[in-house]
Amino acid sequence: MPNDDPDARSSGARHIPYAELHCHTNHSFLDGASMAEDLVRRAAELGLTALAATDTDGLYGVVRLTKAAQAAGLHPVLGTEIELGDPAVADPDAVVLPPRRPRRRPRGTPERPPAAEGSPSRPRPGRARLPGYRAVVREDLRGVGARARGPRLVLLARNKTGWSSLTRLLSTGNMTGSKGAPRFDHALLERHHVGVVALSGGRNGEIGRRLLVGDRAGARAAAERLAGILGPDGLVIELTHHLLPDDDWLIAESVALARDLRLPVVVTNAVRYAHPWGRELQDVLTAIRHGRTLDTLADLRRPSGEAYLKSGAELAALGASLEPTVARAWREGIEYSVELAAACTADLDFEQSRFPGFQPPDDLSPDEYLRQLCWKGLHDRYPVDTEDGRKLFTKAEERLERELTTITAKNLEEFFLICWDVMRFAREQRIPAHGRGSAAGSIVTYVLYISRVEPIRHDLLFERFISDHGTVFPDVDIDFSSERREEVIQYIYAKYGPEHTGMVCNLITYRARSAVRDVGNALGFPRPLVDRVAKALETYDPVRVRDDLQADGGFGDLFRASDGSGESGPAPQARVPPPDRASLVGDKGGPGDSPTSIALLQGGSIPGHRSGSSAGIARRSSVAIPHSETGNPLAPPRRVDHAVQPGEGMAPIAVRPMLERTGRASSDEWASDEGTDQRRGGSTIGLSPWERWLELAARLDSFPRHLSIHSGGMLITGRPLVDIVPIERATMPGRVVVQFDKRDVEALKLIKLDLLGLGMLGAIDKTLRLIERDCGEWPDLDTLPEDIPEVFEMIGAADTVGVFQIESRAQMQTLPKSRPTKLDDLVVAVAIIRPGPIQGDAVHPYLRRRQGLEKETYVHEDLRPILEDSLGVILYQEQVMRISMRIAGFSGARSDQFRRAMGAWRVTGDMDEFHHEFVQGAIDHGLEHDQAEDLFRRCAAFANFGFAKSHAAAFARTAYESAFLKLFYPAQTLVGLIDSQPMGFYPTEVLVNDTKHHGVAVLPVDINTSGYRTTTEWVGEEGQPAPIVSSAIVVPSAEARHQWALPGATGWGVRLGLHLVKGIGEQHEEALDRERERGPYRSLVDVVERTDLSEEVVERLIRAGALDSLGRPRRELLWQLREVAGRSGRPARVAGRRRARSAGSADGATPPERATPPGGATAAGSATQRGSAAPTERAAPPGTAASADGAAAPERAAFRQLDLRLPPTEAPPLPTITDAERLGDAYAILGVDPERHAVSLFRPALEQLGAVTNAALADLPIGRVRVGGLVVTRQHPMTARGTVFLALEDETGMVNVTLWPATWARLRPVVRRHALLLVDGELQRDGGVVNLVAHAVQPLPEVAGVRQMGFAGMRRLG
Amino acid sequence: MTRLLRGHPRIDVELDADDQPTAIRWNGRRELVEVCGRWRVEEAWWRDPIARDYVKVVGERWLALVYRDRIRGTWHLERLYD
Repeated sequence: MPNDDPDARSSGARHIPYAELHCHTNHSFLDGASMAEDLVRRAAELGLTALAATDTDGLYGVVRLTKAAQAAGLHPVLGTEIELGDPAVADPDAVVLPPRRPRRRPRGTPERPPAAEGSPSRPRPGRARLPGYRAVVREDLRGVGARARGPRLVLLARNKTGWSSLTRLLSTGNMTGSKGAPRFDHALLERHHVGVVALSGGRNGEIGRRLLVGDRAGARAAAERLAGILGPDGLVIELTHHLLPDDDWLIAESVALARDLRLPVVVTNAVRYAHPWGRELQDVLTAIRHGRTLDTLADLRRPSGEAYLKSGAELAALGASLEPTVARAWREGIEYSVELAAACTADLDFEQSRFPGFQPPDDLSPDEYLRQLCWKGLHDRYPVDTEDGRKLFTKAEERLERELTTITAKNLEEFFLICWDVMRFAREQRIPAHGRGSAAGSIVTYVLYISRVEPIRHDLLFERFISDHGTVFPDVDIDFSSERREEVIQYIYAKYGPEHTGMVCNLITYRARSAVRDVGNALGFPRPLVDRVAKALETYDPVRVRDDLQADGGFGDLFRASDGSGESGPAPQARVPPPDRASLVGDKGGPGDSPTSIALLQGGSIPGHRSGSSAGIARRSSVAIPHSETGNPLAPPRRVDHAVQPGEGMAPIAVRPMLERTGRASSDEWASDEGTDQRRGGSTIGLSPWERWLELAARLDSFPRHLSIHSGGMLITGRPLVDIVPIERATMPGRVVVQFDKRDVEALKLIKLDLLGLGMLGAIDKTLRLIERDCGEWPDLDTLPEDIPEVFEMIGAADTVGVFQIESRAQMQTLPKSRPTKLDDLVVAVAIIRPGPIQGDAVHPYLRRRQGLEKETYVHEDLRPILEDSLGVILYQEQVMRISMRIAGFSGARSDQFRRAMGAWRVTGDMDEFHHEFVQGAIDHGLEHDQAEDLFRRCAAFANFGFAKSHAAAFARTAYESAFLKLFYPAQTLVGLIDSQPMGFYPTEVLVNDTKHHGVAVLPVDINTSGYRTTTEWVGEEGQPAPIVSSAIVVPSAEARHQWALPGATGWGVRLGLHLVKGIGEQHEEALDRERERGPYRSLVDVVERTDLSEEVVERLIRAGALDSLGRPRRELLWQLREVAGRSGRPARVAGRRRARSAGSADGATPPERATPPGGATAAGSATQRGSAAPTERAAPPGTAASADGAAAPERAAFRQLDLRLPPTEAPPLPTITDAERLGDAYAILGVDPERHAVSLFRPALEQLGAVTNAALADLPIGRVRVGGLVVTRQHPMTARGTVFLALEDETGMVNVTLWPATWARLRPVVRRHALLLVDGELQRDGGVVNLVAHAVQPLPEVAGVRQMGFAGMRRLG
Repeated sequence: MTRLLRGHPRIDVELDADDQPTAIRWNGRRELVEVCGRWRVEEAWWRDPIARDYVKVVGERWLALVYRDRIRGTWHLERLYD
């Protein structure tokens, strides 16, 4: 028996060289339980010579593994494991799949006759064999275990050619299969086998499978066939020993076969996790993959837990029990693994093939053409009609020449030409676009019209973009209006061909909520409970899940594991009934709940549950988690007591030391003070079920789950794409996605172009179109002057709801202090409210200096030129790089590595080396040690969360433009924003209210006036409400309007569109707009007949007030709706007509019955209608009947007109609806009430309670105040260390409410559950910024004594 | 016929240098055995973990299935084949 403890073995025994050639990372999507980095680290510890990445059906993990392996000095081997859809050799019996449940043989049927003459004898001829057909291609492989799927084959790339074979093979397989179920067969393998070496796949390979069922001849034939395809040295028989009952035997058979065919053998361990305990997560993943719980997974789990990384010595020991000859082959197999790994030399350097081809016209070289374009652009961009212009031109000329030289030296001409071409296309198509990112700082991009920010005057640098140091890759991001980005992508596809074009994938990874949910389900926790826990998560930062659960009343107590005895019952145990139990009580449970779990949900304790189960194992170790409300629950001290002595000489497997903290651990340090990893490592045996749940969820965090298309990364390559990267189908039809994500692509040194959709550009686009329609002229934003004072006045007043980038609460808090007065200031404003500068403590010094409250200081004079334009704080990525070069003495390349490391260190954690180097360099430069440390901390905290200046400048320009539009064209801007929802920071209702405050009429939804879309409507000056007078609301003066806005820009109101009504979607757009064109709706019947909307939707229309223009009270309309809708129920009518036609004559015997009473069975109405339809149709007037066979919709409409003769039953006198009901309905159905704000209903009550309006806050003295309002946003910024910010809106405006962590912990249940709040707090004012620090929060309706609020009072957030 | 032993009684096992059983003792009887099969079972880690190394042994009188409980380090007799 092999020793249990791998660590003891690897250190104790003599070292045997070994390379693991079959290893799945977690990029095998739920079939691999360790990250590539963890595997590499473990492999290095074990002293393996090489490690392969052989992920299922793809090369997803190779780049990460390669990077990690190269860093660790381990040789990476690139490969994949595919599933072959057809057997290499047809089975003589044409055996089918074993059914998933063993089928009973009917009584009396004889045993199957023995196989045909000549075929080998089989131990159990009656049993279905496992040759590995997959009978049908199923997309949903849930419930289909590995045994029932096709045989596996591991393919490794020997060299670059082999790599290309793999990418082509995978690409073809993926493209012929369906998404998630690629199809590979031997014919395909035959086409793409050069440079590939195949491992036979162990017991799941075809050879192994045939051997296992005794089909030696079949196995031999399959091996011969594969060897025939792959060439003499292309096939290696793989030996894997997982301590299964028949492994000894299978290895002996495989060795005999290999010897027979003179094939080499190699030992692998088919690794799926780095450490033995990885098996637990692996089982959970399997459960998730199949949508089952662990308890019902027996048929799909891997039977053993041996698929961890083993050392050579450990594997060699497995050979001890083999027969001598086999044991010799086993040893040879271990030796051969090293040899084979060394022979696989493919690497991932594709620098040569990164340049996509661009064909310039007229036989010009790309270089000549680029120069030509640049010079032309230079003259356009820099007019020389003034003295200043001439000066600038000279500077620009000089700089352009310098940049072009660098570009030529770097061979990047074609890249720029491609960008230029894309932008040219966008301009021609009038697709709003702007270039940003590091590239936007160059003059080349400016003169090529890729970026819009002039680099010289705004002091944007070219250096970060492409330096001479060679490691920087051009990074051009182009934002397009979201709706029209697709056109650009299609253009690129068409231009460069699908062969060379692919989208970079986006790896969807587990986050806290999804991990907790999936693991909870897999562990068999009741679903309602899982939902509840998942919803209780406040952040998505997975390691904080535990804190969250403890903070959210109740769940924390579940983690108060008992002292002394561990729990191991199947159901989670609640020792202490949760205080928040009231909310759990009444939950009846759901499918999958046991009586126990329901009891838990309902009562918080489990009847008859004995604490401390009888299982001895559970008593062996126990965990004590100190519980405190606010204390640090992290890194719980784990107490292990050995109640039972482990057997002599044997390491107990259940108790493993707390192992390795991974690199992720430190990632949290910046976000919170509690910087410890919550993953313990080691087995979860002995933990309480709750602890296990969280532990496994924390381990699952950040695991890739599936691929999706990256939002815009486009890869354009010179060589055909499929030679470089594997591609696969994207969910979107016709779209191809590359199996690598953007970081992988970068590691491959390929160049990608980021084409992103930006909602704001879409909104601006729509706004401009509307302005063109309303004012008759297209305002050209490209020529908009940069210095309109009114725009800056508005920005300085933080009147920026709906303005790009500067609308967030945090921005609004800082703008009144920073008071931007020119575009450069706005660039700072955009850049500063980012996690980087916030964590680098840049914000407050900047604001104080900006307000003249303090002088800027520099720890070293050399910092002055670098940081001058941001008043001494670190704000831009360029500054970090320049500091590292100037102060710490980094080389350019090194400083770029530093910047990159900052971006990636959350994952890789390799900041330590930079730290030392930086601090040392800075000290050498003359800084004190503390200063150096501080500077490094500021730089490092900055991480990658800051903008490049050029990037911020591009955003600032768009922000400026959107502010301009908001100021002078508020109505059109609101329409543009509503039409582009969801986007930005605020929901529609906030945008609407804000626009109203600015004196723009927002008109309600009305079926007779509203189109499908929201649009502007002429109301004239007199139709506009008066703007609210407040310092926070800026309305331009008449002179300003005259100067900057087009004539006719005022007087426009906004008419909300029908699309706001839930249930009306794009499919109704055409019909609704057409019907409205036809004339007004005159009655409810008319609406029902003409609009083609379902009864529920019409009801919503009524309740939203859209039918008020029919002139009837809403209750009456609702009363009649059932009757009217029932009468014209479409299916009934069509059926009736069809029957009438087929009968040849109408059975007009039944007279059209008068209204079914409302509330009566709809079925009755339909039945009646069936009879009445035919005569009605026959009686149609000639004018309309003529079109009866024409287009469907007019015909229906024409037909239905007739029903108008039968007015619906008179409604009895009904009470009119109250304002509260009206409001509640409006909020529920439209999400906004244009007439009244929800809080205004409470105003009388609020006044009684002594609350003030938000507008009044601006003039109140600081001190205690009370306000009531609706929560419109709630934020938990990672940078705020637990502080929560609410934006509270009432009918007069918004106010920012701050909840300090302790307050939040106390008030959390109230704030989370209620949208309407009464807040008591301390009013603070700082540089014109009003802020309320909450002390107490109460639900407003309860306090005000209003019970019925319809939907408006419901919790809508989080 | 095989006998599945209720409660898997503990047995004593004599091991050789490679940790392979050479003899088992149960109920006062001692049987010299040879190993004819081995496998490992690790199961139910999430509720009541089982971790056993099974050995199928054959002796003069017995063909038996025994296992070592890897958690407790004890040997048990699970099955006797007649």
